[in-house]
Amino acid sequence: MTWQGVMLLAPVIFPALGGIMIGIFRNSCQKVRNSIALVSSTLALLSAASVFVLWLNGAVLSHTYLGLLGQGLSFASTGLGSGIALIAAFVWLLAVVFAVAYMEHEHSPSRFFAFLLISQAGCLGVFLSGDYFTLFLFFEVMTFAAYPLIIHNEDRSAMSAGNLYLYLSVAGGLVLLFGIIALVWMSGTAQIVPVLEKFVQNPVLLYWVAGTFIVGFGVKAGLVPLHVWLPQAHPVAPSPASALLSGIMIKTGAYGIMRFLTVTLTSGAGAEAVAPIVKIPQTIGLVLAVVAIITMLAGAVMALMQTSMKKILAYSSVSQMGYIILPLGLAVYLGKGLGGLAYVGSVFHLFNHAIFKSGLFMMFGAVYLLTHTLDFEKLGGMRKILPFTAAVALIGSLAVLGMPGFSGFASKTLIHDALLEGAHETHQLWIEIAEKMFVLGSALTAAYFIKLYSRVFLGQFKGKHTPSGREHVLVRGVTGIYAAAILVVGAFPYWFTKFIGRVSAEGVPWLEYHLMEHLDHIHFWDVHAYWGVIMPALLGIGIFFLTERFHYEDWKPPVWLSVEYLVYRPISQGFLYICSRYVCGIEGGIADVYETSSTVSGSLIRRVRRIDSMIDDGYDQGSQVSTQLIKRVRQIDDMIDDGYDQGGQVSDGLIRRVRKIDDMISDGYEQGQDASSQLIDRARRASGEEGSDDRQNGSAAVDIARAMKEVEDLFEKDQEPSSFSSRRLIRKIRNGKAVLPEAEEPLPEEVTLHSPVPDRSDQLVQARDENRDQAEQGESEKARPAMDQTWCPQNITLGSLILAVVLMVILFILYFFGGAAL
Amino acid sequence: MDRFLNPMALAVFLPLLLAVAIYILEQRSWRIRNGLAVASAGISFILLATYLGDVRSGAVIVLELPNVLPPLGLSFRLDYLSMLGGLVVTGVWFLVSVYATEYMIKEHAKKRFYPFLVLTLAGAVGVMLSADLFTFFLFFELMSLSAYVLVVHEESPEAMRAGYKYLIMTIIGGLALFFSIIAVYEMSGSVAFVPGGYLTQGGLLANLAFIGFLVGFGIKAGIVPFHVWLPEAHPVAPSPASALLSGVMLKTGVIGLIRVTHQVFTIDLVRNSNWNTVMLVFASVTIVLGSAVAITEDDIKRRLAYSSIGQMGYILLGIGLLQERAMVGAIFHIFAHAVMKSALFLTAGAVIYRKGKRSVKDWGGIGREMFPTMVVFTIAALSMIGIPPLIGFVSKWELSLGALDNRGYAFVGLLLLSSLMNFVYYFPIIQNAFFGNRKHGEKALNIEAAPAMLVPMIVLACFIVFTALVPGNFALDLARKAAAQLFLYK
Repeated sequence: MTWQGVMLLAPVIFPALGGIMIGIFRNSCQKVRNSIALVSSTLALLSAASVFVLWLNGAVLSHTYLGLLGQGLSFASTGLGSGIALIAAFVWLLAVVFAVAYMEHEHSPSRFFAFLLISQAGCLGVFLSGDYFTLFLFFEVMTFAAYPLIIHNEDRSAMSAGNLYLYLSVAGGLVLLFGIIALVWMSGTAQIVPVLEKFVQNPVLLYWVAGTFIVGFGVKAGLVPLHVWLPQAHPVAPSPASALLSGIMIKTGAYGIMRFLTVTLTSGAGAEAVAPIVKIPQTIGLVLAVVAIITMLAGAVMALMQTSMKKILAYSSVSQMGYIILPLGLAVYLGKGLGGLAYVGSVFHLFNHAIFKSGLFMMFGAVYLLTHTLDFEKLGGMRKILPFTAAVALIGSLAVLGMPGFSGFASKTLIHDALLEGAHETHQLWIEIAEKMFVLGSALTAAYFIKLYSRVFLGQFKGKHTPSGREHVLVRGVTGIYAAAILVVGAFPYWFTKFIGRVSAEGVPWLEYHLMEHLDHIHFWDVHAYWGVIMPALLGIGIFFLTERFHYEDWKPPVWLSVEYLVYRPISQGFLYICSRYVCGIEGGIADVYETSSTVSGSLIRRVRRIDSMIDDGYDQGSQVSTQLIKRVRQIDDMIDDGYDQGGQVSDGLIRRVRKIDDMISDGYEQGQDASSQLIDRARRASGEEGSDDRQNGSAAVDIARAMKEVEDLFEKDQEPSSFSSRRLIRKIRNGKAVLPEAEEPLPEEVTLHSPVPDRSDQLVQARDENRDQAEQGESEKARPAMDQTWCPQNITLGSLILAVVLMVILFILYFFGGAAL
Repeated sequence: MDRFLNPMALAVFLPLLLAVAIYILEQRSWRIRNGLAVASAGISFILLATYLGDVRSGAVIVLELPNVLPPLGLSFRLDYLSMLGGLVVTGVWFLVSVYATEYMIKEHAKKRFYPFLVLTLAGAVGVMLSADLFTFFLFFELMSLSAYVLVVHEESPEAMRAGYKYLIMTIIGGLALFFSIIAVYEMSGSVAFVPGGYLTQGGLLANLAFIGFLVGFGIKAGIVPFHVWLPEAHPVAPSPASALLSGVMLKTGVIGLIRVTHQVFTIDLVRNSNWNTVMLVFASVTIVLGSAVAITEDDIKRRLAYSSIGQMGYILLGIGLLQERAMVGAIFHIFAHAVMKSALFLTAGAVIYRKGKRSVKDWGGIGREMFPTMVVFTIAALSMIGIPPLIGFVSKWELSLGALDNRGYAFVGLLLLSSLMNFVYYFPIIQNAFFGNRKHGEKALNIEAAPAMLVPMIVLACFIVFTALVPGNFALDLARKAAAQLFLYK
């Protein structure tokens, strides 16, 4: 941050800090608040003055705060900008001083002072900014900070005026933003430098940019038909705020248009580069001049119709903005040479208007402070009560009329000369008409100021109680300073004209050409110049008396004639209608689509549910069928069981028979044994009787015994298969379980059956169950070979077959109806 | 294990763990619960902020966790975009959590609210930081589903209805996303976010995938006509939750859209398939409709919700323009809108908390009773309108220049028209609050919000005012770098 940046930022920072401090200490006492306001605006004035003095001494300050807001905020001191900034800071200080007196009996003074200072920061920022980006920033800050000033009274008219002001200003700001964005995009820079040559490729966009700039700044400047907020907003604000609104803030609009037309819309690369589009700025200048003439006349006509002090002053501001913009348009139209005269006249009038209009608002504010009314019906004769104010107000009024010796004289003469010379040199009809309109406008101005002054200060007081008292000392001081300034400027027209020529020419390359020579040819103290302002004034007196005679002010124009009624209300209401009707309709339509789709999907879901229940029913029926099947299978199972039981009984009988045979065989054995033992006994007896023959007999007996043994062996051999097979049969029946623990053991002589028949059938059932389990596990294939090894097909083919069938059936059932059945 | 112990992984997973911890510990003491809820966002914010310097100097920090949820695995990445997104999410969440500790005192079922608040945070952080579609989807669903609990918190019939709508729409969006992710995987065999994108072939499947993404992300972001849940769900939720829904969670949708259009599909494919035109149409409709309907809404929270819809249109416009400058605006607006809209919802919540007034017509004189609160509201509203030097202006500026880069003069007009509409629906509230009169018979009370509610709002207001006014504007810097990175492979 260099010293340049600090210097440039100081006029912005001081009031901003002051405003924030007042906001913070808003509940502190009056003195603290007033001193903060006075100190910060004094500091702002000093720093603005130092910037301007530095510029005069050739030190052109510029600084860019990089990185702020992404683009970098750029400040620069130009002659025009820092000059207006100085005037603005000066007026602001006076307004703050005036407000100290004015706000003594008002509510919310802290809010008023805080926003007064913040709007000062914004306003000075506009004049000191180096590019449109920064300018727009401060422009918007000022716009919003001025809102609480306008609605300070918070009554109905103030709120509606504030609404109109803010809606229009925001809309205008957005339009301006479009222009700035388009300009930045097209030219690549936001700097206020000549960039016309960048638009050669895209002249359509140039019209757009110019249109948006003029509309955006025009709202603030109060150009007809964008002025509607101004006559409503300026009067409702407290007088110091009205003074600033009319005196300074509307100049930001004029300043913006001025910079745009005289700098941005010029070629930075020589006249050849812009040859194809050189006519466009001229056209824009012509259009602007026409708009300015309309503004000038419409404002004056409306002012003449008013019956309120501040309304007249506000409409007068509209009209005076026409005076500022008309020569500007003319300057752009004429270009080099003659254009310079018009341009200087425009700038000069801007300065003058800043002084005298803010002064007039405060002077008539002094009247309001005493009488608390703005209405002519309740005023009159104030020159007796407030002679000082009557004097300074006269000076101010004469300045507006441009009487010689007062400040407006020089600027009006310049503008008039420029118009005359322009018409003379170019022979353009419209300039001649413009000159006539200028005179007419001046006459109307004279008429309404005569009306204003005579109604307020002359005649008799019409109110009920004649007010007593005098102006506050601060009010006297402030209005006195204004009067002095007006007189000083009026006294030295040559010097101020040259000075302003020097100030305004900087950065406007085409103006420097011959400008000073032209200015040298101007004669102020000259009969022509006098006649140029006195003739309209005389005309104005005539108009005044005519309007008085025909009660012009009683004629209320029909409401449909007002711009507000014709343009803004249809637009805003149409806009709201579109929003509420169509867009909300679309929104509702979208919601309907969702509702419908959800209903449809709901009914679809219901249908799916029906299908689902049908499937459910199917399953139910299937399960019933399978349950019946299972019941049948169980019956079969029981039958098989019975079969087993019968089989068991049969085998039981068999076993019994076998046992009988066994018993018979063992009986046979016993008998054989008995017989052989008898034979042995006999043989032993024979050997005892016949000794010699004993051995023979003995050997014979041994032979016989051996033979018997052989017979016995033979018997045994014959018996073995049958008893073995019967044992096997028993075991197999027992071992449906396929268990044969003593299969390989040698057969005992006697076979005992431990398990009774019923037990066996139980085991069989058990075995079957186990098999089923195994089948369920899919392992029956493993179990079956083990059984096959031991099963004897001859005896239990039937059993095994039935078993297999059962298993198959069970498997089958399980396979098909598994889930449902179980 | 060390993979889980670096700050980045902690930033993602700590809220997840803390959500569980809060659920367990809240039985003990509400102080621990509130403390943990605030700390979870705060710690995440600090952990992410430790990377700010690295990321700003160009480093891309990657965290791959292929073993978590194989075969795709989780992966996270901190580049410019996710840095900005992560900071916005955690920062706003932290402030809103502080606010919630006061706001929720009056509410029931706090034991349910806080764990889900932190769980939703976990989802949102994960979404911002994820480096592939799978991770994105995972955290996206986590966030969306846990936010349901926040939406239906009041359990009133309207809340349940709105929650149902929200849930249905969320699930539809999730399924659309899922389809698109599958389609991307089918086409390319990858779901990662790769700078410059990798899907170059158009065709039916690609178109379907894009539609899926547009629907999925559009539902979350509140793009018309997928927005219908938004004006229902945002107003019924408790104000801190509304602030997060509008301020933070909507942004996950557009972050996803940015990632998809630049890091899955290539820009050329998007342009050749005219998807940008589709996005522009949706954006225009969204801007106009959101702003226009907001004008007609009387309930403050509904008005703010519709305003959010309009503002999301700005961001979609910035994406659809396919210009670097427009993208700067879109990304910056993600930050700006998060700050502004959460400030607005918090102030609205403070008024509702103190006065119980939801209708803006009843807000007369509140500016005198709750002066700092309404100052914050005013600042945020002016920023939404786009008044310099507040941050809303910066995004509007960048977006407009981007639109002009694309020869979209009409879009600039649209943006400015929307700004005017913003003014039309915010200004009466401000005017009524400061200059309007309270209802007859009501007493003027000094009922300023408690410090725990006021301080977060003021911090947000400071962000709105000073972010653009300090030279090293980190958000704009990150947005610019992120946009440059996205368009590097053009």
